[in-house]
Amino acid sequence: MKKLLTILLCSIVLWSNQILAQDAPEIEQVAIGQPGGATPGQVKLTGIILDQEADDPIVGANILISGASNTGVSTDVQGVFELSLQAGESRLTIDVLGYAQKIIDLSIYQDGALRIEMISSSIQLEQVTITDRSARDNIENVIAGVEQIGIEELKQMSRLLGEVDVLRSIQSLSGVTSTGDGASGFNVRGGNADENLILQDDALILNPSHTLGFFSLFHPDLVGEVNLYKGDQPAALGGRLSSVLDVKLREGDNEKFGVNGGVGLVTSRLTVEGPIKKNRSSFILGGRISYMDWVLNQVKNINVQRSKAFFYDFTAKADGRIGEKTKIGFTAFFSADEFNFADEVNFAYQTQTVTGYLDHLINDDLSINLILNVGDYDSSLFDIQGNDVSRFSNGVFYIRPTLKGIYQINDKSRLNAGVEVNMFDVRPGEIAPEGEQSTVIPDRLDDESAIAISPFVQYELDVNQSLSLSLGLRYTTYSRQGPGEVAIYEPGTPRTQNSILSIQTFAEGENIVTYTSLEPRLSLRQTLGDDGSLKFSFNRSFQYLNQISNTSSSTPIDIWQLSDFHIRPQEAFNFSLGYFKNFNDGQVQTSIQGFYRRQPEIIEYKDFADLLLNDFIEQELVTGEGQAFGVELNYTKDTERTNWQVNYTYSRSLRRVLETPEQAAINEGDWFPSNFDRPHSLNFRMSQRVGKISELSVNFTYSTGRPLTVPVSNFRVDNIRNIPIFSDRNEFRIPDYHRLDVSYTIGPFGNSQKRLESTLIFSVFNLYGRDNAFSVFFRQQPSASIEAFRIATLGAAFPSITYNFSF
Amino acid sequence: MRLIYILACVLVIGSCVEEIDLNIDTDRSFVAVDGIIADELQEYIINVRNSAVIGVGNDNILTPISGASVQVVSDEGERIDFIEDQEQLGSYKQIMQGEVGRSYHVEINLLDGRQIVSDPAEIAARVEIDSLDFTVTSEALINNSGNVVTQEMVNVFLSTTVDDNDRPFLRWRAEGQYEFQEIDPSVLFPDKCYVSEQIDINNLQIFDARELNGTVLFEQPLFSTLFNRRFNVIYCAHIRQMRISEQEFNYWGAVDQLINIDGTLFDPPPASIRGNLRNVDDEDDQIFGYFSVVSQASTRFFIDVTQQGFIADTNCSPFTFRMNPPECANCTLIANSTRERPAFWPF
Repeated sequence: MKKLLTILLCSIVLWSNQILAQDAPEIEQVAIGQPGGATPGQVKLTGIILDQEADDPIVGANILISGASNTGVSTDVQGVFELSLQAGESRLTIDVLGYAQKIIDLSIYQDGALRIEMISSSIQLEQVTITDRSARDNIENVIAGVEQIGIEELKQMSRLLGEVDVLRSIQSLSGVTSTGDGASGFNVRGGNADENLILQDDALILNPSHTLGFFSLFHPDLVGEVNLYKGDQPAALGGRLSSVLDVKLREGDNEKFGVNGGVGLVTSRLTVEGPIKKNRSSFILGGRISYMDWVLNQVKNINVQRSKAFFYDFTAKADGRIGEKTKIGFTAFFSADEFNFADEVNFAYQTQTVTGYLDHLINDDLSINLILNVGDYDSSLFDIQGNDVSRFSNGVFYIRPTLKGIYQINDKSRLNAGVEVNMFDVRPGEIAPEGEQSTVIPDRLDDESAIAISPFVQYELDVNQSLSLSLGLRYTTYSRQGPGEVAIYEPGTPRTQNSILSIQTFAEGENIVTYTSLEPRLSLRQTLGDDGSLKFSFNRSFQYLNQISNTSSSTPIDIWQLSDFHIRPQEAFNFSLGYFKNFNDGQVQTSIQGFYRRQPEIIEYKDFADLLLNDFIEQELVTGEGQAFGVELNYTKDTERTNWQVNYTYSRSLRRVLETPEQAAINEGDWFPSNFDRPHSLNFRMSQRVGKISELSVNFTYSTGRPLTVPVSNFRVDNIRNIPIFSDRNEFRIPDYHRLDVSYTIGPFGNSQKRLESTLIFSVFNLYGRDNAFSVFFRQQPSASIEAFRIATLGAAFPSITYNFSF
Repeated sequence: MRLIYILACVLVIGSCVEEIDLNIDTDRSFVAVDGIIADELQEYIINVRNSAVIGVGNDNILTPISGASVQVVSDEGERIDFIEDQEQLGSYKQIMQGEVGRSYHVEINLLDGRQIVSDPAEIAARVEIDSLDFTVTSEALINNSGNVVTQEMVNVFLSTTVDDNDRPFLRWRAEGQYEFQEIDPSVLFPDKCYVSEQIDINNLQIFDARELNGTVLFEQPLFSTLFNRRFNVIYCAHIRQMRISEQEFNYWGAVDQLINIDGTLFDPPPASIRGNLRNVDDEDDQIFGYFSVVSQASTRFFIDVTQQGFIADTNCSPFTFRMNPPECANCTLIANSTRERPAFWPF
């Protein structure tokens, strides 16, 4: 059997290597000055990158320089870049999404300027080597703790069911964990899942998961770039304590039509793109659908047979230019999930957002950007058995206009200012009977409304060649508005029904409470020699929209709760300090980053908190403080054929709830681990090109098991036996998590001259079948010992095969 | 097929559940008190024990705490001594009757010097039981093999009326007793037994009458039990309706949540439940259990399934060709059985 497999594998490798990859890009020769000219040593190169057809400047083009100097820059809002180079021979590699790669062999011996015109191209992602970040990005970027993932990197990361997944990919970054396979959301530097601001083309995403977390909401063929801000957050983004996940979708091809997609075991996807008006505007449509029910029906387990899992999503995006200075576009997104377990319980949740934008270049130095995002998240839990057949639903509707301007003050400084408005209308919960037999009494909590207005300003300055800084300020005025009722409690007593002195009623639109917050942001970067830099970041942030959940993991039906009279905004101070060092002309990138987060006010839960349909939810909450700290080590080696990435994180996430007249202490007021405290985390990733078009990827991940409260003793009262006595909150841990994934990609078959191109991906998720515990719970019979049980959502190796195509 | 099953496991949380050893190495044990007094004259028991240590081989063994001084104290200072049963160490007993309108608490002095007291609680006016009823129904259950099986169940319901201006917190207990008729082909007049059983172990039934629409609680489900040979002749359910304090209601509510955790994503993180007992000298000393002070209304409810047309099989054949279980010929082999006919037995 092993021999057969070896032969098969070798055959696949040899066969795949017969197929040629794409044609190499054309190399252009450019000379500025002559050897022995007047400017020896360093020379200055200024350039502008333009769209060849439209003659428009291209923002964010990456220029990688190799040769006598090894560096990299990106173009600014005017399409301009500036470089200091060692006089001599250099190679410039210019990459822009949506354009053919350009390589320029440059002979430069004096200061000079360069105009580079890029040719828009049909983008075959498998063909074009998109260097999403230059080899010096980690050194040059002013912000510490920002992680960028490009398309190529995404493809090398772990695949479940053959599909690239944004959420799973970012979980392999240092400082990012999740509660387990199948968990909704992710945790950054020990923060809650709701402390991450998740954006897709500037649209707010409240639940980024499909099928309870096994797939992410982001269509992999549409994702252009992923930025995760773990440390400092730009002043333009706010409202969350831990991080910002900013996913940008790519624009459609504005030159020719194209189709690509993939067919997998349980999901399929399709993308169609093309020009609306050639070279001026484009569209891209993408959809995914799952078809898992047939698989469930094959299982000889009645509960599984009676279960259903289904999702689909659809994305439509269009972009176009009006004149030479204005660009408009929109992204619409809709997704729906349904999950039914054994005719007992059923979830359904859906996200719908639409975002429109307008970019306008007022003059060479000033541009404005207007964004309007409208969205809705709705989730339902159906109890479909017995006399309690009912539907519990909750959701959030939001409108988020943003206006910002970018002003290039001079070649060393830039100002970014604007105002962001967040209007939320939260539906905290409603229960309704389903069918005439149901005995459930309908109940509905009043909708909650709030508006947050956040002017912001960010100033970026290159103080000198080695020191850069970014100063930001965000000021939020948050107003919780009626209609609503506020209970006034007797001061100095725990909040209970009995301690309510009066109830104050507010009319629609009436201000219930206002909070203001000043959020400074500071980032400093000092380069140390050619290949090193030291970075420091600080920010203060506030969060007004919180997910109320006392379960171990985020779930689709977790309630979103606005800050109100009793539930104050959560606050965090984030500090980051990092040292970044590159070796071998940027082939090897290393960094060590330390972070500390202080949260003066956090929400914790009383024991056995009753959160569903609770008019006075503040009675179930207690206030505490939190802190998280740690160190992240990163090592990346990127050669022509091999890419290695290793990172290790040591971090702690702790909480404390002290006794006050209003509340009891938790764990006697001592610091205790939060649910997301995972001290040790190690990720390893290796991608090896095999032959010309095949690639082998290996991912390994390890992290300490998350904290757990366990029974240590039990007793009996009257007819109730084995009442457990639990340890201190989160005193113990579930077993450690580790997993190895491999994938082998063959393709694309054919080249750019052929009409149909395709790739084949073989992958095995969880290769050695580790029974990682998603959660541990305890079950006992009246006369038996208590037993610990593990729920493993993926307890075996999971192979898959996916066929991807484009034409 | 294995692949498909794995896939199903991925998609259906709960289908891949297995027992694991968490290697929790602790020997923590705490004082746990379990006692009740009511407004009826009878013998009451207060158990003082150490909680069972989990995971070191002696699960569920509650170690009795012997030699303690146990007193129930009224709000008028009356002290009633509870005496340790030398055959059941750690169990302290006394015949007494609480008085409606009076408050009581327990004081326990351990040999190690610790003094444990409960919060005082008043005995409120009792709430009488209006009526009891039963049904026999067929229910589809999923057995351990995952297959659907149909099983007949006897379901008992209770109705009661509450005072609109004094809405009580209620708790119910049920104990069972049934008559078992021996069937022995070799004996002309076979004997019979009366078997006692606990039918509500870990069946916690509480109710907050503030939630009641109106003043009549109608057909409140009390318990369900398998329909089998126990119902062959007649079955007697001893029902107690206890009026408890709000504090005790909240305690049982928390216990109910805790013993019904089923490991879903939506379970709240568990925590220990402290009752109404504390160490006078050390607030950090965790004392568990509950000392209940209640009023109670008791009644016996005889269930004769033949009235509804059902006949329960005894599993004992009158014919010799079939091998009967030994208790068919000697019912004293059944646990908690006696040949002594209870005085209240109807025939």
